[in-house]
Amino acid sequence: MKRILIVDDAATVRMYHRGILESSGYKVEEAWNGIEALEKSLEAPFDLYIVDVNMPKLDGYAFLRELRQQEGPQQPAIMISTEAAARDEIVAYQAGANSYLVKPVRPAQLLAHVRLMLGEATE
Amino acid sequence: MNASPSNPLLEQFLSEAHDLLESIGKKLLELEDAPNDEDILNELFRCVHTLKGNSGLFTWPEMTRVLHAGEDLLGMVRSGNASYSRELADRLLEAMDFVDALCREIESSERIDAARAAESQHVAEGLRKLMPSEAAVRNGVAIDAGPLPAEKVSVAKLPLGSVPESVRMAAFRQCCQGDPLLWVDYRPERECFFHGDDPLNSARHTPGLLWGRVFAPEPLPQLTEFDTYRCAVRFHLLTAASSEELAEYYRYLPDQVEISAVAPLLLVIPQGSLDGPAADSHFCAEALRMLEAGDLASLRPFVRAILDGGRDESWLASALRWLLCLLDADLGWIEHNTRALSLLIESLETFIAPDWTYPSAGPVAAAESSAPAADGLASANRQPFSEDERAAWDPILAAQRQVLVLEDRPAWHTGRLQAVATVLTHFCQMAGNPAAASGVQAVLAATLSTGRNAPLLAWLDARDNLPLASGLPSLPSANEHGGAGPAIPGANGVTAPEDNSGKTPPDDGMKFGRRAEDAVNGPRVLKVDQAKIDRLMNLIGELVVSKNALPYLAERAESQFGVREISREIKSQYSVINRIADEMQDAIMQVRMMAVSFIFQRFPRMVRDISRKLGKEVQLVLEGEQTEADKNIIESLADPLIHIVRNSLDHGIETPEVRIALGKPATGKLIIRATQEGDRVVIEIVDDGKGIDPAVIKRKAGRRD
Repeated sequence: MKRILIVDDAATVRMYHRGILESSGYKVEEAWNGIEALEKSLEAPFDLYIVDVNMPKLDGYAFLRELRQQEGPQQPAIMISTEAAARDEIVAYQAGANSYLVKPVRPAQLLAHVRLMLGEATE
Repeated sequence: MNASPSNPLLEQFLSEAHDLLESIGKKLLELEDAPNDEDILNELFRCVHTLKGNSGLFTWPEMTRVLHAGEDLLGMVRSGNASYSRELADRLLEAMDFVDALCREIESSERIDAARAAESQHVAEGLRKLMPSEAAVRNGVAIDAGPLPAEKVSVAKLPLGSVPESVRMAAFRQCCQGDPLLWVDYRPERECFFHGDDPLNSARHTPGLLWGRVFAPEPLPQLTEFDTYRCAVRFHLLTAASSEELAEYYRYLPDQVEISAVAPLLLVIPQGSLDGPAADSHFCAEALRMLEAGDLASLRPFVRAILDGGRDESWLASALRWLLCLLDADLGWIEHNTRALSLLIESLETFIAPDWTYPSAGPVAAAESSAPAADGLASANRQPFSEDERAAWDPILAAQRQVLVLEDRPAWHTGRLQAVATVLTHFCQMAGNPAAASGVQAVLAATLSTGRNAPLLAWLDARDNLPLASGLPSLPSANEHGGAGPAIPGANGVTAPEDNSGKTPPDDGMKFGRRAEDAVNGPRVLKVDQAKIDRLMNLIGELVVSKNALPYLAERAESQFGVREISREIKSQYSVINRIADEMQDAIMQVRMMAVSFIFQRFPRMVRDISRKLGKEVQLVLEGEQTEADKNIIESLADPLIHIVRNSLDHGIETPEVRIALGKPATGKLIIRATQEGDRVVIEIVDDGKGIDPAVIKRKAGRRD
């Protein structure tokens, strides 16, 4: 089963995304800031990361920069932000995100990104 | 919590909102004492930001609007564009009170009263007034935009046929040389003039503009009814600027502008009169043969000869011109893409324009073709994709491209490229093209060894490796939900959380619920409905009463039935039950214990507001906030304490002038202190004001009678 890490400081958002992903059969874990996310990813890397931008201690950008310096194969990351500006999007890519969604994310939209990013061939 | 909401997500929202509002209130007061403390300001901003984000999951424009304004205002304070003042703090505190009131409303009725809209507007405006004017106007536009489109660059069905052929041909050539080509659909808001927008000017100065058209999407009304203050037009623009440039240019109007990438082949639309004769089949067969033989050198003059004989305005002539254009253009990628050319040649006979929803155009033909890309693309047809997946496909590929064109080389550069390669590999798998998937890794190795992104970029740009979304097979019924999984609560756009209760399969609720147990990462505090604790309290009460019947039972066993042995056993068992029941009662009482901080926390705000109103300076000191007492006691203490504190502010502490005259410091001191004394809690309220004059009290009391 594919494992996904949701990194967000807002419990409501984590619950929302978790509900969407779990009902599609993904295994979900949560982290409420970048530091916790890094610790979890070092324990066992995830197949996909869904990362919020604004978080205490270590924000989403900083987390991705650290994540992308870890050893071993790199897995995709979706950044979820409240800012629709192109500038913010570029910063996300610079930090190592692979796609950029603007809150609130529609469930079907999130699932589409997740499925494509995970690349599970259903054959 | 009286009426607990039926929806777990809503419940979570309200609980988190409560905590956030509390820390926002606290941080605002802290900031008052230390207006330059960046940490407090950042934390404050983050709380408002998080709350705004959460509220966006539901459809509560009244709440989101106010929070958005608050966030913008704090953002400006943070960036130094607005300065922190008492007024600003007042407005923000008011705004948060408003949000708190909305939360309460949602908690009790699960909706917001329609009458709140005007109030919300008012509160938000109050906040925006504190922003520097320019920014206030700009943000005012963005505010009511609602959720912004997440994917701004998409491939859609565009009315490209409205663009004159010569413009399309020029754009096509430019595009083949690597220039971006984007379609802009700009729909100015009707009220846009009031926001200071100048749509015509904006449209005309769009960067890289190749062609533009202004039109009225709806029939214009009679001249007498025409409202010149409302914008009634819409723009279609074709531009060679990059999507970043456009996004930057239209950054204040993201909700009014839709930008779509245009694949060059989409420009190839033969147009013209269909009266003339079609090309004869001999010509087409011959042309196809030359094409197959790769003999483009003979094909070119062959086509030109036919073109010279035909009428200029005919459909055939137009198609032939395009054929030449495709043949002449320096089309690195089209050289071996004979499919496009053969489709166009075939159309000469049928007069049916080729369907460029490339590359799925004619899957049968693609399978027959020996072009190297064809195998992968044909097999892509095996895997159906949902509407949303098709919509996400191109933007995600575009995002990988964005990463590859970055010019910085940070420490995490290699990891960043590896992640892109992973995504591309996954995309190949999804498209059913495993051969290309293994190719990615080889290209990645080349990229990493040369230190330049060019190989990976070239691989990505060679569309043979990965189809565009338009080439993906779609699910048979596109009107179904997301596709990959079962229906999701609120799948229709996060609109109404209350929908969940009806639509969600029962085990979905369990999934949301399960989170509470395994939330090892969250704070180790459990929020429980008070009714549940009350029930425990009642049950333990009943248990205590019924256990007390046991000694009586033991008595009877001995005196009435003469079984001393049993009597003794019952008594010893009783003492065990008695002990456990006592401990249990104690434990439950512990659960009900609350720190006095519950009441104390509202004092800073209250003291601040009242003293300001009275023109007094008061320093509040809270002590022993962690002292605990039973919930009932704490709750019933709240009102009397507030009364006493008010009294102290109203009558005890003097105005600064009086205090100075009396030789006291201008700022009065109010201490609220809780201490534990045995099984009692002592709460003291001390001020250094003028005290209570018993004579005055006596006189007043006498007068009342």
